[in-house]
Amino acid sequence: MTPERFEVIIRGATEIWDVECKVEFMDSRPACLLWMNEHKVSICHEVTSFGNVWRIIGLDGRERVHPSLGSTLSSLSRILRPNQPNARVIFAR
Amino acid sequence: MIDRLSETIDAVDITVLSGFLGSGKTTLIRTLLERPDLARTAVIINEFGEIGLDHELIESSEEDLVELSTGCICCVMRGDLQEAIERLMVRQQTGNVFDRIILETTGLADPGPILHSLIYNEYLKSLVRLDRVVITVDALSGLNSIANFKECPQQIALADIILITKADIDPTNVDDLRRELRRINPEAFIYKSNFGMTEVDLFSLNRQQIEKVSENDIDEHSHHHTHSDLHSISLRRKQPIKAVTLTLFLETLAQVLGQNLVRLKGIVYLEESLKTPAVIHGVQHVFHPMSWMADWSGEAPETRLVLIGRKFSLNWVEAVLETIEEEVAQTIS
Repeated sequence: MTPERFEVIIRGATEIWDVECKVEFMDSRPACLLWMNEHKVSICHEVTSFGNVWRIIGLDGRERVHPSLGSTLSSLSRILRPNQPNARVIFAR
Repeated sequence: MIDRLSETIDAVDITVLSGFLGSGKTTLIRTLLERPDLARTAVIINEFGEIGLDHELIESSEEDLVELSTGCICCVMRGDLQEAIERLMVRQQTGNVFDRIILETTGLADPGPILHSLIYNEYLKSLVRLDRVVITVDALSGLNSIANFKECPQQIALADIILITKADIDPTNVDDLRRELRRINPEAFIYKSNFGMTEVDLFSLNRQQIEKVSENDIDEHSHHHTHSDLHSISLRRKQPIKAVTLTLFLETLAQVLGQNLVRLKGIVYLEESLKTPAVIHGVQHVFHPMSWMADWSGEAPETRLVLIGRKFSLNWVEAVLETIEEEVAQTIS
């Protein structure tokens, strides 16, 4: 995960969700702070010996750790849009 | 459920006909029903409002018309639609009276929920087979409807075939309209229709032609003056994609995009099936069963997906796919 791709994904998600925030991206690593007024959400991606780790520290200060992009975006959606239900894809048989 | 309906009845093709208010749906049906080869066609009409007028305007055998008058078809109809189809199929079972059904929606309907029912409802699928989605767009007021009514671009995005109507009255806007239709839905067939007479026979295209994805890239920046916030992107990939990556990718798109994803269609170069392209076709978050083409017909294998919706960019979709591919590769290794 390059910092550039990380920025495309996070910025794109906030635009798709119409979240009003300022985003500060780190140049050297895939990490950012989302500022919503004086409140912030921190997101970063790391590659560890046991695989990918996405860390989100939400508005409540609690850290959430996720192993995949899908679960990270789902978690971020719940933090940034608490009243929005999560969609699921359905495959007709 | 109507208990007289046998479980062994053959499913009948159903064509969904939609289009904004006054765009010529009823005129089209009247003309189609005059064709001898379409004489064995049943029509289901839904109207918005208490007085069903379209019903009166279509001259046909009473028994082959079913009118749904309980409100807008996309909001309240699904049980109603099922009942209407059942009523037709009971008659079909007793006398084999029609070969196809045309379902006309109201001008204010988003066809998405209707298509969900026809794609996903097991019982409805045993009775009818979604054949094609035809949308009428008025050459006189189409650009205005696209700009001002969200239902209109939504209908266009879901079309297999788009008919530009009333171009004979004033062709001034036809080129602009055609460009806007192409921008919203680059994969639909676009024809003109004057007083219900279409340039090309609506039913001459087969499923394979309708499902085919063009090889042309979509230029996201080609039209600066646009009327709708709907747009389309095309994703191409020469490397095969693992089936699990495809599933996770589609789930992530549906989860993040929600209502902003209106339609997705394309062919996929699957690692588990290198010689036979997989065809995927989704309306919002509901996907048809994956089907398979016989081979690549001499073309170089590659994944080609077209996504129609709002607020997402090709860069974002590619970044999501690349990340999921890396995650799957790491998990497997």
